[in-house]
Amino acid sequence: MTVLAHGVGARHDLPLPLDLVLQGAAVALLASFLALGVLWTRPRFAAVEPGPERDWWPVRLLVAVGLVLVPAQAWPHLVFVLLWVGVAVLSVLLGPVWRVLNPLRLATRVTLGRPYPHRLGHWPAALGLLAFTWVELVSPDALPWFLVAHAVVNVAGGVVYGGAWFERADGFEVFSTLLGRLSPLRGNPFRALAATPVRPGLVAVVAVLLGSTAFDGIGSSPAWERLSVPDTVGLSAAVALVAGSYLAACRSSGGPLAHSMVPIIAGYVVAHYYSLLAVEGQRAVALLFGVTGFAPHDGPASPVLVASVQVGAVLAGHLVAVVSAHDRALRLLPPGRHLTGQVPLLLLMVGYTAGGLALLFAG
Amino acid sequence: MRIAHALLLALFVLAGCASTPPASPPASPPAEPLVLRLSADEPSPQRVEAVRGQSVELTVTSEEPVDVHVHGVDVLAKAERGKPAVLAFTVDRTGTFDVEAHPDTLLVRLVVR
Repeated sequence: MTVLAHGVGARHDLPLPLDLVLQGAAVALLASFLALGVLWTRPRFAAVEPGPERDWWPVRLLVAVGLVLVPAQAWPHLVFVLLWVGVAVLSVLLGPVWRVLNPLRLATRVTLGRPYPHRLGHWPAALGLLAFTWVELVSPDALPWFLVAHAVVNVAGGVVYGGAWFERADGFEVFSTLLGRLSPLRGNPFRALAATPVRPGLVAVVAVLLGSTAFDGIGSSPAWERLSVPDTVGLSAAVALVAGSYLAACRSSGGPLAHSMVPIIAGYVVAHYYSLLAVEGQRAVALLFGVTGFAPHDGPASPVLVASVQVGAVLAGHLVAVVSAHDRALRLLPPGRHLTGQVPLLLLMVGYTAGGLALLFAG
Repeated sequence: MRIAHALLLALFVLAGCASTPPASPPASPPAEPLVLRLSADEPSPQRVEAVRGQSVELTVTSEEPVDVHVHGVDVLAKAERGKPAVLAFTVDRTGTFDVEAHPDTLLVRLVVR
């Protein structure tokens, strides 16, 4: 939780108590193998794509006009707190909200309508997200440059390829749409997750999202500072480690199983950024209205509440992930390997979950 | 199927139990202040535990002129060659507070419980 540490005077959460970390990891391990034993033996979740969002351009126009009025000093809070964390949390609750709000999507109204190259898939989104997380975690001062580049690239992409560009190549929309599949308001999250289209670069998007959040925990720790390895190297290594371990556990099924990592990402994001959103979110709103000396209320970040949210989010994400992966594995694996074939990914998920909890302890 | 539901329910209950940390007793701040001597030239950041309400005294030496600040506490002091920065303050809330030499050299991390 260091995003704003260099920009504003932010306090971090207390480290998670060790006993909670150990209990959480034990619950995850136990739950995973119990689930393997007692869950269904034939696939249950037919893929159901949640209904299309209402596409109402005046909302975007309103957001675009609003952005012009945002005071300069409010931009870091607006992007790092309200957009990056707020939109993620709203997406989990309500569905893919960024698609509705993104003012850059206005570009699709004047599109040339060229077909989006299938081979590109989500790769531009993975690159965009990596660039953003680099700005967030390594070099927050580069934010204005990132925003300008992001706007230019996405307006150009939208004009050439239309809505398909944002759906596949805009990192923020891909992130918001993936998390939006978890929204309980839009039908069964398991069916929505199972409907995730497997496109080139999907695994890269997942690795960037999980790896960067993990590095946010590692990179701010005193132990990491003592190593004096450049943060850029650390961020790349964390993303590469997630991608490598995931592909090693899934072999050739990395793409068709990638949707099952989305709940783990959501759990990590909520655990790492809950207090940032709850406390700095107040300051962000004050800054938007031009109030600079605002002191946020600390109440929503009390140690007991924060620890409960963190452990609860990580474990809930883990359980949903295990169930989704189980259901998909039944489709992918030959009947004789239904049980044994699931073990590598299951162990990896337990590793990610225990690792995520350990980072909240050691950060 | 019913077994699976019951199991999931049981796990959530278990997770719920696990996620309630024991309420810490209101710690009375110790009389002695926490005194730390730090160097901005050769930082070796550690995690140091403090108690809410305890007073903290930091002395930071530096060969170069540098600003030292404590995130979340709004105290700031300048250090330069032969003239260490001295910061004395009390943290009256819990949390993790980074002491940094500008722009982002971590000197020590205070964990206040």
